[in-house]
Amino acid sequence: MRPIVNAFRDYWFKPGNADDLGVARFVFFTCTFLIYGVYYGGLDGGIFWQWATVPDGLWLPVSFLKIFKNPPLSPDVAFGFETVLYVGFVFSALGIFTRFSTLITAGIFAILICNRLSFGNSPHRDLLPAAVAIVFACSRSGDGFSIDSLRSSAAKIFLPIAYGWPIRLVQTLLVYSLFSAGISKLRYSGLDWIASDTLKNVLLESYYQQDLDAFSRSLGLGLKLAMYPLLCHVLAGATVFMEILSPIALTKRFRWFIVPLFMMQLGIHLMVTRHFESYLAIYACWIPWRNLKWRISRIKK
Amino acid sequence: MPHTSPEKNEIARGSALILICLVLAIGSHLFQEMLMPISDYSMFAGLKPMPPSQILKNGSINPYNMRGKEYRYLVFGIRGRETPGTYLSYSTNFLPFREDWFWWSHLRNNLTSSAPQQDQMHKILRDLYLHSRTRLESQGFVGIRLFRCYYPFNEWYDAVSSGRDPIPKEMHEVAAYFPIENSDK
Repeated sequence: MRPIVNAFRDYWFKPGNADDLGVARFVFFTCTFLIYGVYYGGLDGGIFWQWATVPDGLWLPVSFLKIFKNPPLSPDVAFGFETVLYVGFVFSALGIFTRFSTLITAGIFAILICNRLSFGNSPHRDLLPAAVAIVFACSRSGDGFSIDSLRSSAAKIFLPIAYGWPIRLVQTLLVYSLFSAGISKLRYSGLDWIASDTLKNVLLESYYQQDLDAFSRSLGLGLKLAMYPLLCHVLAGATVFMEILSPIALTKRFRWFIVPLFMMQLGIHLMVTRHFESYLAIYACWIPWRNLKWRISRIKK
Repeated sequence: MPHTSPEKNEIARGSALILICLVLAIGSHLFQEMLMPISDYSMFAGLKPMPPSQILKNGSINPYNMRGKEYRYLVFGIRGRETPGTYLSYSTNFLPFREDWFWWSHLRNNLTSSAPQQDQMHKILRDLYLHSRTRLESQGFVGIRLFRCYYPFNEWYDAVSSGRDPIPKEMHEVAAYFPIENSDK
């Protein structure tokens, strides 16, 4: 039992740095605000509250809404929640009353997602960001790189291990979501996903069904790629291969593997769908911000 | 190194959240119906069989098209496949839109990775009909329609290969219809 406990400790509770966690929090919430508020149109009419206008007869609660037998949100409440959500993103990014603002933001994010999910919409793009928001809310993410830390006269830096595990957990969740996608591909379609024209058809469909944003569509990368079936097979194979191998990005030796994974995510955005931009911000948890700052200052000198 | 109390507390707090997140993440992948599917990124991956009673829960509804309208038909679609081995069989947002149709719903979770068989679809919809008929009727629906839909991938591909920009289009046909009102009475 002891070796398992030690392995668990070694993996999760390595010493971290308050600034690294703080910058990751700042980048995550800033990007999430821009993606949901601006890119998805949340500030321009909302993207969550409309679900409260769906007829109650189609309400089938899931997750904790099912456990607590919650009724659906009323449109007014949902609108209020969504407004608070965007304000919460800003407060959480800047680190103003960080613990309180991240908790409120993460809680409302989860409620709005569950509300939508309970009406039958599958919010696959939102679940991981919501989980990441919860991790930041439950950790000491405001101790570094925040207005809170500037306001306090004395630095309140806690134990180093308090700043390591949240980053590790976010990294693990992201890698798991990629890994599970690879497993699902093999589990449900086997090698057909690689050997068939699936990817080529996905690229064509995404382009013609307007599942891309205006910029990605103007590039037409997927359309160009679809003209080379062999390349599509190679890319499909590489996708499955990278997803299955994604856990190695959690090791020190293969940390660099997160770069091709990020490029793959970017490729999905440019060629397949505009529904996973919210994942891009999570990659920020791989960047050792403190080292970067140190290196930049050395270059300047 | 001796453990201080704050360190122990931090480890306990962190461990609790870590375990909750991992259970949710892994559990949602294995038991999608029980938990929030954190790992639903795997939508790209394929199709997961699911009991027919879960269709409404997992079908997509578009609230932007629902306000102030009355719907009479619940419409589903399956995407036929033109190319062996492909399984693009979810989503029907290309169905012809009619004012009295309850927007669209998809069945991707109900199909296996093989091509959607019409028999399988009939069975799923019949079960849905039996399971949810009363509820649907109370919402004013009078029937469930199943469409079989196609994307002309090969046609698109030929056009793209020869340097033309194909006109986006889709084909569809009614594959099944289940009346709710005045049936089996």
